[in-house]
Amino acid sequence: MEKGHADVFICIIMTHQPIIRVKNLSKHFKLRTNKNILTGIWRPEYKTVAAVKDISFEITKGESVAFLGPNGAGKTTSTKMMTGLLYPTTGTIEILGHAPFDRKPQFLRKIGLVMGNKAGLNWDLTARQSFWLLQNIYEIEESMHAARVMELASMLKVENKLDQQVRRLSLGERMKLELIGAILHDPEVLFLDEPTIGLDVDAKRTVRKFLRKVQKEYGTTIILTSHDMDDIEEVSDRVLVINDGVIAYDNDLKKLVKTYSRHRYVRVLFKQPPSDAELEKLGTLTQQDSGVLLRVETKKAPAAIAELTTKYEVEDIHIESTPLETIIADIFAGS
Amino acid sequence: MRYLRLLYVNAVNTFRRDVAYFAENWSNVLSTLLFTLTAVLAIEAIFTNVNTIGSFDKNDVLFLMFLGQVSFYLIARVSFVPATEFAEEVNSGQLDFYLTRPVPLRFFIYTKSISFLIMVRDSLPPLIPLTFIVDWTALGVTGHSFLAGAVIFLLGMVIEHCMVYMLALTSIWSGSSNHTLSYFWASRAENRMPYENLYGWFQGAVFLGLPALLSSSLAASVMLGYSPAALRLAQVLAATVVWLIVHNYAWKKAMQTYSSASS
Repeated sequence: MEKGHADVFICIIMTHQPIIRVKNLSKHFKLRTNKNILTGIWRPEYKTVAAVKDISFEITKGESVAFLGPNGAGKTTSTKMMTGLLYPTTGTIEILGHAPFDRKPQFLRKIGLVMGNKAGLNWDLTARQSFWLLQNIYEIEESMHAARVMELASMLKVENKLDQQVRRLSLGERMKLELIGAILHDPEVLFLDEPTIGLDVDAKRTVRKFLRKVQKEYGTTIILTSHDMDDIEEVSDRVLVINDGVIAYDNDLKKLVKTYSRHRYVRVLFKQPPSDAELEKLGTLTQQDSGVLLRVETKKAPAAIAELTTKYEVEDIHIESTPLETIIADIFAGS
Repeated sequence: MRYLRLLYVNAVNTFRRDVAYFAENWSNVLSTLLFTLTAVLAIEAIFTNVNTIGSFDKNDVLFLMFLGQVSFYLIARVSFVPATEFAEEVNSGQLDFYLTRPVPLRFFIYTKSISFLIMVRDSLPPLIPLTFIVDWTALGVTGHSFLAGAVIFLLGMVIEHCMVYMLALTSIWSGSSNHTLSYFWASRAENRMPYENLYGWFQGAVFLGLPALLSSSLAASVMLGYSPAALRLAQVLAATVVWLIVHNYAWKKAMQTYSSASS
């Protein structure tokens, strides 16, 4: 093999090497069960709750992976164990060759954390002043730091917000600056916990685009936890669905939609609407507003659409896939 | 160097934060001034009928009060306020951000919100008049006793610092430590008692439960030559070692227990 080819080959192997390895990971919490205050103090009783049950997965460099699950499913517990905030009860985690809970500076320099409902920037200072502290924590050279701040701020269009006290900023502006703070040191792995919570539609879109750009341009591995399906669709390529502490699904997001998308939604606007009984022969009539919305089995969809367009006078027709929310709800329901 | 750099950045950012709210909290200055005034008046009233309390004359008691006030302003701003903030950060889950950054954790928590500006602003108005009230030339302080007393003062502050953070660390188990931390001020309520006048068992108890008396009463007693310097120094040194060991253990256990406020 020629040298150039060998380099490419090695490079391909390197980029597909897992940088996160989670093996048989479990986390149990001990909860006090006594309801009576006096007996609770005198003779406390506990029960063990398994938040995460024997999960295993690997993530390669540059991947964008979403953790999805209902409240209490174990996704935040898993993320906290990966960031070293929680110690696993059993199992092992290896991220970039480090055990997270050792909290070694070499490991902490390589990760970034954004929590949508917690402020990493000092409320009473300006973002630039908080970034100065981060510059010193991560020991970033002055000129490099200034350039990086300006580059990221212009990507998120918050250059003119850098010198305003954080508490005077809107939630969207604050979250954008939180993101900058989390990636100032160019982390290899970025953990995001509900990064768009409470943001308006515009801000959400900007944040999602920014995260995709960070993943593509800097090769940052993104681990996202969110309840917002749009976050997941726009930011992630792979989904780990966690339910009741176990992984219910781990694969490509597109495959998830394809596998579980058993229905198509056909929105039709008729010139002369047929009767409900006639339409219900084709599928389930789920909505009747400006037009009708028919839920049709995916395999029967072409025939149904053909029948609709030939038999009736149609003004407009729109075919939609099953919303991700419905797919996820189906997975959780075990269907 | 890295530690100094972080200390500098934290000090500057805390200064900026204090400046942002400088108009607020001036009531602190008024309350401490009022406290000093009433305490001096009480000492005046007591010494109209007696010449000494134990071995302490009025000037010694005023010096003791001066030392007690210095330790108060130091411990309040260097340890208590940052420890309270730390307990709140445990409660809110903010601690997650420090645990996931490459910082020397304890050093960072200890130094990230020391308000030097507020400390100076609050302490100077009451301390300056006191320095004029005390007759410094009449105190029986020698170079040797001063040095021993100063070391006891500093070690007493270290013990108090350990105590404050151990109280704050309870928030990791209970979720909050607001009421637990109030024990600290209760233990500091009266730190102007001449040490040699305390009951024997009480003199020992201060090492464990009332360390505020070490940095004021005991330090003043040693400086003024009423207490054997070497013996007291050795006792405080031993107490400091014990407190540091327990404090380190408490931190270790707390960090293992920390489960982070859920999001």
